[in-house]
Amino acid sequence: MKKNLGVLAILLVPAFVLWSIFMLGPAIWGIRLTFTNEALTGPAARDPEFIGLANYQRLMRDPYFWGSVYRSFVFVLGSAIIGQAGLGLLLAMLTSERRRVWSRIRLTGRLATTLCWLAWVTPETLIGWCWISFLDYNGVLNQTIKALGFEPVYWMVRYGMLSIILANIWWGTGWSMMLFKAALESIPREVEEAADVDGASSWQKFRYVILPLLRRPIFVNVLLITIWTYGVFGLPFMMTGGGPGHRTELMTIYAYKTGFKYFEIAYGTTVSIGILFITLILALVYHRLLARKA
Amino acid sequence: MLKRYLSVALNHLVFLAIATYFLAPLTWLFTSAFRENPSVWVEFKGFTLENFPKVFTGETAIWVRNSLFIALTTAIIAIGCSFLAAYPFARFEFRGKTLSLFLLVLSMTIPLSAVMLPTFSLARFLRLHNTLFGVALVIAARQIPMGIWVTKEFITSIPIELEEAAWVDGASRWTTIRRVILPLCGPGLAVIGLMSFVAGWGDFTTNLILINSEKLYPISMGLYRASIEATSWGYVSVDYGVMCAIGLLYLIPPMLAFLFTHRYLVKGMVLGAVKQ
Repeated sequence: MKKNLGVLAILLVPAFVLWSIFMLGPAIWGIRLTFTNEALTGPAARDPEFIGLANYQRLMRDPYFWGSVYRSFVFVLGSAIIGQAGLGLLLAMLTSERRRVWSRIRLTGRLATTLCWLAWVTPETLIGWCWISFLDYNGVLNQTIKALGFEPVYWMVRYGMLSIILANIWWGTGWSMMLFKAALESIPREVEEAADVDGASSWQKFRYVILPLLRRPIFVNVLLITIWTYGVFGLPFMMTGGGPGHRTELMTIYAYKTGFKYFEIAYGTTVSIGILFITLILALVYHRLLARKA
Repeated sequence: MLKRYLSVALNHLVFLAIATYFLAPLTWLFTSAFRENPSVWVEFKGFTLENFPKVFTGETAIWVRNSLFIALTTAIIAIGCSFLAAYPFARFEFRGKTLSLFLLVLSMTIPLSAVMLPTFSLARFLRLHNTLFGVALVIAARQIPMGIWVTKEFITSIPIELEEAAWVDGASRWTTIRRVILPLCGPGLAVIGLMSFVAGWGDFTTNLILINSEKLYPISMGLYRASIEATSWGYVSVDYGVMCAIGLLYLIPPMLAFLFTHRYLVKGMVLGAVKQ
């Protein structure tokens, strides 16, 4: 094999430069920023100073920050862990082509999975655009509710958190569904046939045969979508902007507002270090898991 | 027998309920795109196709152009960088290889929203804020880890003997990279290109933090601004018909891209997370 360090360097440089500036760079730059008082306006904009741990001390005492930590947790639990993983698993199981009834329910089954997939490929702002209109006081949902004889509701004002959770489930379920479908297909048919021979009911088959075999994919997927959902920003920001009040203000939205609305770049970055911290820990767990397999 | 019918009916019901959940928020988009001056209600009257040509005039045409520019630039940069960097990872042993691969994978999980303020601060420092090229660079950089990973797998699967035979005949490493490796990596690079295109096409957050001139708005920023205008002050200055038409067109590229990459995606899932 030819050894050529020059070739090696030339090939690696473009990717390395871009990656270190825009992926590694912001993380390191961000950590440096948290020890300063950089801002977009005022005297600190011209001459940022090092202020030590002051930003972190402020963070610890900031009720809005802890509120956003709590809301992000609720958002992740509701939309990713319960919503996307739950609905995705249900859809994947119900549309398994090995079910005996599959040939008779194929049509509606395919319709549901196709629409679920379509939602997953939709760009973020288009989802926001559709859901804002859907939940609008004069929107489709209230139109339906009125037609059924109920009172219309200001959904995003009264049930802001539920609104963004439902929209995020709508967006992300397709991924989990596809992953679980792939996992189900990798289970050998013999395993199920053996259970059939033993006379297991479909529930028993699911509970005692399939579910234990799916434990690892489920765990890995929940970890992945938890990491992603902690970082979700655009969709809830577009729908509610964190409001009404602070009731849907996730960590990402609080960080954005602190930086770009109140112009406190340094303190906003300190807030987002919280997100970085959570996702990095989860990512390390994820990496360990994959490494152990290999 | 009755039990069987009940079970089939129950399955249909569950599927229809799920399908309704996924379809309902889209009904307004699909109907309004084909209506004259639609309201926020869903109605089936005033059918027209006029909204679609209108997308390609005035402000919305600029959005489409900017989105295309960002998406294409992102795809080209991501393909180029990933392909070049993947070769050494597949064919050389060098110090720090394991560490760099680990850092690459780890960096993949950092959400942009966790680093958006330093990204803005850095882009401003490099005079790249408020430029479409800057936006494309930031998005492309985020595609590189996945890109290198996928291409590396492709190159590793190409037998080294193919290259060695060419070297014996006097070909240089550059020649084999161009003539042997590049053509065989085609499908992998196409997947990376499509994924990066979609990432650039659908991006909102990068544009939100870096772009403030309306002339540089892509479709995502246009939709965002329209949604603010539509929900504030009670009056409507937005033509819902044109906005929904552009929304429908906005959906087509990612749909096609994912149709083509679906098989690779599922294969990647099986390798990554599913396999026991």
